[in-house]
Formats: sequence, structure tokens, C-alpha cells
Amino acid sequence: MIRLEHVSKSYESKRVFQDLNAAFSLNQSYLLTGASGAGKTTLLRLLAGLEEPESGRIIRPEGLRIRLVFQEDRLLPGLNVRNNVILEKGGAEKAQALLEELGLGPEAGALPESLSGGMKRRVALARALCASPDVLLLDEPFNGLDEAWRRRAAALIFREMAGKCVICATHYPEEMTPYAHERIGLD
Amino acid sequence: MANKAGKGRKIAAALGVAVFWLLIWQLLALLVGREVVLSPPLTVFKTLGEMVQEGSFWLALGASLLRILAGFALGVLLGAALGLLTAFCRPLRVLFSPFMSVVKATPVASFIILLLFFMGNQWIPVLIAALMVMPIIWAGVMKGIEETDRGLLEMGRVFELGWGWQLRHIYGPSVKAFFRPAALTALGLSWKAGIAAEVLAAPEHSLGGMLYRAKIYLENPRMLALTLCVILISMGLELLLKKLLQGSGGQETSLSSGGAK
Repeated sequence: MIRLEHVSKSYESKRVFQDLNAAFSLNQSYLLTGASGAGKTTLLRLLAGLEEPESGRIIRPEGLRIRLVFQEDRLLPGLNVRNNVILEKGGAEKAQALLEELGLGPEAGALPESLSGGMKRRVALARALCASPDVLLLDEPFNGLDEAWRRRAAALIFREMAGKCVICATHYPEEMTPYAHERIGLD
Repeated sequence: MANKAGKGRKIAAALGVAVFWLLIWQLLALLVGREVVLSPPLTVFKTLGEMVQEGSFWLALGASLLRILAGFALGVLLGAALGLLTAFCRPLRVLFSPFMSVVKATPVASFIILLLFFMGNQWIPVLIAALMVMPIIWAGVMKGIEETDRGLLEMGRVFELGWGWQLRHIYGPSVKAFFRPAALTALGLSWKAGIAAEVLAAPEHSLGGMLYRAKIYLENPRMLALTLCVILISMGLELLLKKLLQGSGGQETSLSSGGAK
């Protein structure tokens, strides 16, 4: 379980969270909803450990592998697609399989700059899945993907993350709804 | 075909520019009218032709190159190491920033005169070259680290990528982008300052020493021929370094092992 206890967070003068309490089970999937600026990205960044709360605390089990698909692709421009996906030791076979499933097999040796926006997004997804995380945080993972790819990507995410925790913020909730155990509104 | 024609036009333009400036030189030499003050280009080229047949010239050239390139390498190493340290450690940056400013602002001649009291004249050009290079490389490496994509650094943090791996694949490309122009500027500067140090310190077998002797014996054609030689070598070194840095800038396409901790 990951727990947020009395968490407050603000950016400059804007308060994003005030005394937020939440708990995420490590074997369930969550869909974060809310208008732009409601704090979805901030919550994911807090859970990933990229931000510290001003007050309150976040309790995570020791050694938990948390990976985040950022809103931007954040691929390394000097590494080819395969190496962008592997990043961690011994993931070559898994990386190749994920790339094939995401329709990027032929692009494995290409550099990110030669890919379309949708392809880059799929590489970012493959990278996070290849790391076999215990918790997968997704910040608008389907940006730039058409409906067919959104469906295929969602199915792949939940097959790979079966029995683990997925927390997803997306403007395309319909693709994630069949898989999410709980919907959390941040408005 | 179009490429070849373009190259031909470039060479013709470069030749035209060279001829223009040689004519200006010739005109100035005619106006001055005294070879001991300003020799005409033909006399200088003739002297250069004679000089390259002297064994002592090649010995001096080799020794100068060795000294100044050693100084350049030392400066690059020190500048890069200090750049890395000070970029990641604020107290060290506070400590070293004024030192680098002083090194940059101090006239080369002051350093040379100061060093004459402390070391043998063979080593002075080495140290002077290093001192010229170090602050430039230091600033380039620092800037490269400062300008590294914050988004990629966050990605590295989330994916628990090792520090060495991040240094190579995240900081590395950004540092390279700033290191290249810094190294090219530093090379030209170190060569000029190294030769100046040789003029003042006059070590055995050195182009600077030859320049000094040409000056005191009023051998203007020899002095200009040596200067021409220094300029040509500087251009050659810059070209060589450009090629070397281009070669090292290739994209990374394979990994021997993963980067996670």
C-alpha cells in the first residue's frame, strides 16, 4: 500500500493539495480524473518521489519499483529505440517483444528523432513496461495515439501489469475504464 | 556534380581572398620601403622555403608542438575535472570561480615573468598553454552540465539509472555540445600564448626562441616566415581538432550493459 497522509502541496501561490489523504493498493489500478490543473500530474510526481510534500507524508514500502511515463516522451536522443527501452540490465529480449507488440519492431535501431509523435509515445510506454515496475504511473500515456493504438496499448499495459499497481491520468478514460478498479476524481 | 561545382567555387573564392590580402601586404611593403621593417611576401616565402630545409627548424617545430599540445591536454584535463566538480558541488564553485576569473584576466606576460622565478624555461610554455585552456574548458563543461535537459535527469531519477550512466548518456551529449567550441577556442589561444611564452622564456629548440632571435638580429623576413608558419600550424591544428571532435560526436547506438543501479 502507498499512503498519502495529510499531504499539502502548492506551486508559488497556487495550492494544489490541502490535507490530501489517499491510499493506493499495490495490486489495483486507478484512474485519475479531473480538469487541467486539478493536480493529476502533481500527484503522480509526488508518488514517483520527484516532488516532496510541503506537509504531511507519503509512505511507500521499501524497495518498491516505481516507474513513470511522463507527459513528455523524454527519450534519450543519442540512443536508438531499443536502447532507450532497455535502460536496465538484461531487458533486451523483453524490450524487443514489447517493441514488436507496439508496432515498433522495424524501428528498434532508429534514433528517436526519426520517429513520429505517436511512435515516440509508444517507445516511452515500452520503456516503462520493460522495467517491470511494481507501480506504473502514467501521465497522459495516450497522447498522440489514435483510437486503435490507445486500445492496444491499454491492453498491453494491463496484461504486463496484471496483479500490480497502475495509476493513470488520461484525457482518454474510456480506454482505461475497463481495467481500472477505482476512479479518483481530483476536482 | 553540383557538389563538385560548389566546391570549385569555394576554392576559387578562397584563392581570390588570399591573392587580395597578399596584394595588400605587397602594397604595404612597397609603401614602407624597408625590408628590415616589413618584408614583401615573396621574400618571406623564399625565406620560409630555405627555413624548412634546416634541421633545427623541424626540431624547434616538433618541440614547440609537443610542449604546447601537452599544455593543451593538461588544461583540458584540469578544466574538465574542475568543471565536473564545481558543477555538482556549490562550495567548490564558490571557491574556484574567482580563481578562474583571475586566470582569465591576468596578462599572459605577467604569468610568464612570474613563472620564470619558479621553474625551468622548458616548462613555462606547457604551463602557460594549460592556464589559457583551463578556464575556457571549465566554463564549457559547467555550462554543458547546467544546460542538461532537466526532463531527462528526472527520467534518470525515476528509472534509478546509475550516476556514471547518467553522466555518459544524459550529461555527456549536453557537455559535448559546449565542449567542442570551447576546445576549438582554447586550442588557438593556447598555441598563441605558448609561442609567446617561448619568446619570453626562450627555451632551447622552440619556434618562440627562433622568433626572439629573428627579432634581435633584425631578420624581418625570417620573423615573418616563422609567424606565417605559426599561423598555418594553428589553422592545421584547429582543422584536426574539428575532425577529431566530429568523430567523437557520433550517436550512441549500442549499450554493453544496462544503466540501472
